Amino acid sequence: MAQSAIKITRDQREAIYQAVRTHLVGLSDVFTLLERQDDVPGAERLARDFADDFRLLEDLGWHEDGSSGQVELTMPHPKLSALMKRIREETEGGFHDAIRERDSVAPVEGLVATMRACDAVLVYTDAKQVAA
Amino acid sequence: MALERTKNFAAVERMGKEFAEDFRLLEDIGWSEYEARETYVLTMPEPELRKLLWRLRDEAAQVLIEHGDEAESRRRDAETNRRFQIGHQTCEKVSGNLDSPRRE
Repeated sequence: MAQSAIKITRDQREAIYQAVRTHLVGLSDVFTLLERQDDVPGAERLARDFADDFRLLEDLGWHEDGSSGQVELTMPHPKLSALMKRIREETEGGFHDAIRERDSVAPVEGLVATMRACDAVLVYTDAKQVAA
Repeated sequence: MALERTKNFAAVERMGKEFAEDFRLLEDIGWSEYEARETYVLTMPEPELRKLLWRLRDEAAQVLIEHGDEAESRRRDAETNRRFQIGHQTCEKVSGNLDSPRRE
């Protein structure tokens, strides 16, 4: 059955985009692990995460400015749900680190915005999965 | 990463798509250097696979040409050259099979 796309606001898009961008900093870890060949399953797992990031960026747009209006997320809902949970979990880790290290307010606010944006998408994806 | 360095979003998008294709191909050919299988089934859609193989072939050729300019570098990187040579030949062969009208 065809699924409907989930629409997010510009602010939600910005919050998720920044989290994806932060995650992409670790892309070289895939190549490091592949070169060493001592944790190939780890390399594979990481690469799948990055492949999900790339797919999400197809919807979010690759440019930091993005579009002016709403953004449609077109990934299959189970995959989108898993991705949002991963981003939320990573962001929550960063949030706790920021609180512990008494980081400035701005990054913490950004992290909270990301967690809320992920939650907003999850409400929709997970409700759909339960209904199905 | 190019994104943080240059803010060249178009280049980053192209690189991201290429990495996604690479990762997708590795799903079929395996992630380990030491694969024991005799044959591999490539399950990517044919146009996507063809494009990817041509890109890998061109990238390998580029490396081989660059190395060809410097004999000392070639001797030092003999193993790297060998790998790129095999990669170049394999991409050529597989993409040739895709292009063949007799392919089933």
